[in-house]
Amino acid sequence: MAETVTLGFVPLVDCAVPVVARELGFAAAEGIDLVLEREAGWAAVRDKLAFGLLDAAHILAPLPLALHLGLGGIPAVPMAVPMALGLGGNAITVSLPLFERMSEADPDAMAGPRAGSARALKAVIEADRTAGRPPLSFATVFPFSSHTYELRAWLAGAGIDPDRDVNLGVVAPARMVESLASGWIDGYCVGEPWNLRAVQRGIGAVVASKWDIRPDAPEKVLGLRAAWVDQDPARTVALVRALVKAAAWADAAENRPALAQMLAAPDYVGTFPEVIAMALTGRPVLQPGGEPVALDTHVFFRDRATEPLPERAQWLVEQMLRWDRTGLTAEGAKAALAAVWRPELWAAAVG
Amino acid sequence: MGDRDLSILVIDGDPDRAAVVERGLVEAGWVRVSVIGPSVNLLARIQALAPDVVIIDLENPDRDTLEQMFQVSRAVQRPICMFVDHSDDHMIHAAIEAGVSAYVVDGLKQARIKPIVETAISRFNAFDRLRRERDEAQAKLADRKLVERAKGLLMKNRGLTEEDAYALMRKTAMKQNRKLSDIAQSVITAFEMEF
Repeated sequence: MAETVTLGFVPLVDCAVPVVARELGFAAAEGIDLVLEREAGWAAVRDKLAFGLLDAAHILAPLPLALHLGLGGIPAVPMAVPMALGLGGNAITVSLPLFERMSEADPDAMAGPRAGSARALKAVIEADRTAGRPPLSFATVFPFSSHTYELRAWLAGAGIDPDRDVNLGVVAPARMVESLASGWIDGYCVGEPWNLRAVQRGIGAVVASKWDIRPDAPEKVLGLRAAWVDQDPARTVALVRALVKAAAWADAAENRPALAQMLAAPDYVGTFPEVIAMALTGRPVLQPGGEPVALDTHVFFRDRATEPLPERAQWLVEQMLRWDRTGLTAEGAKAALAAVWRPELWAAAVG
Repeated sequence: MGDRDLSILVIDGDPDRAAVVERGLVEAGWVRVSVIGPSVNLLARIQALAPDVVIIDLENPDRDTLEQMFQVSRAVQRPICMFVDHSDDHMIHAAIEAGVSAYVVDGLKQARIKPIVETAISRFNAFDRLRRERDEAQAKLADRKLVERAKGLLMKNRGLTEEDAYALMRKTAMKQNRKLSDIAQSVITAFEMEF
């Protein structure tokens, strides 16, 4: 009798691992009937996971830490992260008008490497300030997200103060492109397909990828309630084993076209199949009318991409301490990381 | 009766449900209720309305935007937090299952908010029930239309009387253990293929 595990996900290219685990039978082979539930946003994922409507979730890496610590206006729920669901996936996109202004303001910075493109933004911001124009607005997908920390790091790296020099807000992933098109925001940091879609639609350009900013920062992880793990640790180990096998399959170059097709199905990402395919084949076009560049945006298995390595999560913790005004202390953050990140569960599944 | 003066904002992507929730709150005596649908400038609109309580469907992606109002920052004038009654586990589950989430301005007493959230939960549930009943009624109507059309085709093309056409489909449905509407659909498909 297979055990049912309900896993919530947000429709993004990096939800690939659970989708493959279900579609190709890796979960069934471990005795798990993996039921996948699509969610429209991260607050819904968090609440359903916290209150037991979901057993598991494809979730932003900092969110289980925040939930465990009771940050952000919700009560604390002890959490467990027994594996990561991949590396990479995010990028920073700016509107085409802003891209043109940046290219004009500092052509050297825009010529590459991409991590330095924020220097051109700095020049635009200074020109705006001199002219008395209102600050530019940028969005990420959630307050507690690697996106927020990556965008802040990219800005701060060029001497831009994310809290004073720009407006920072939050917009759900599927709404990013329309918000950019309507001019409500000037740029954003989001996962695929929402960067390459803006390029395809001709309204935005990718100016930096996660690989340019913090390549080894955790992205999405498998989030579980600690109580759910304790209830039946063997179930968690079986789930992790299935997902790690799925990750190995999803990472192989020869499987990427089939993976793209799988993700484009209505139950999963369900939109823009050609953009999903471009995100997975390592040759994306980053500017409207541009040439494809070599950029393997998503890594699911190589480089220890499934391991919940505390040393990689350390960067997230440092960013939470640096930027979030939550009253979190260094000791509190360290204890939370030690409690939530569970490499021993990963080892039990893989070893 | 100061509690009825709290200003309540209902945010819902479904305007019909928003109207049901709004009416429920107003009928229960809260007079300051406003409703907004999806909008790109959500935060600015909330700041302008300055509600004490926000009722929003749990699945709404606008909730992610609301989350930034948890943080005390320059951009946020009135910090809010999620309404969770720690003493009442049953209510949390009732809210989540009904698909309701609530945000309140920092510092408001739980007892003042609870009846608002309870009203919202009962309205969400009532709306769900109505929609289910409507969907079922529509499905029944669609089935009946299929049967009528299949009957007409059999009468015209096979020279059967209305009763015989109906009896034939009914007998086939019973023999094959299928729904009458499925048989009707097959009949329609078969005749359409001949043309």
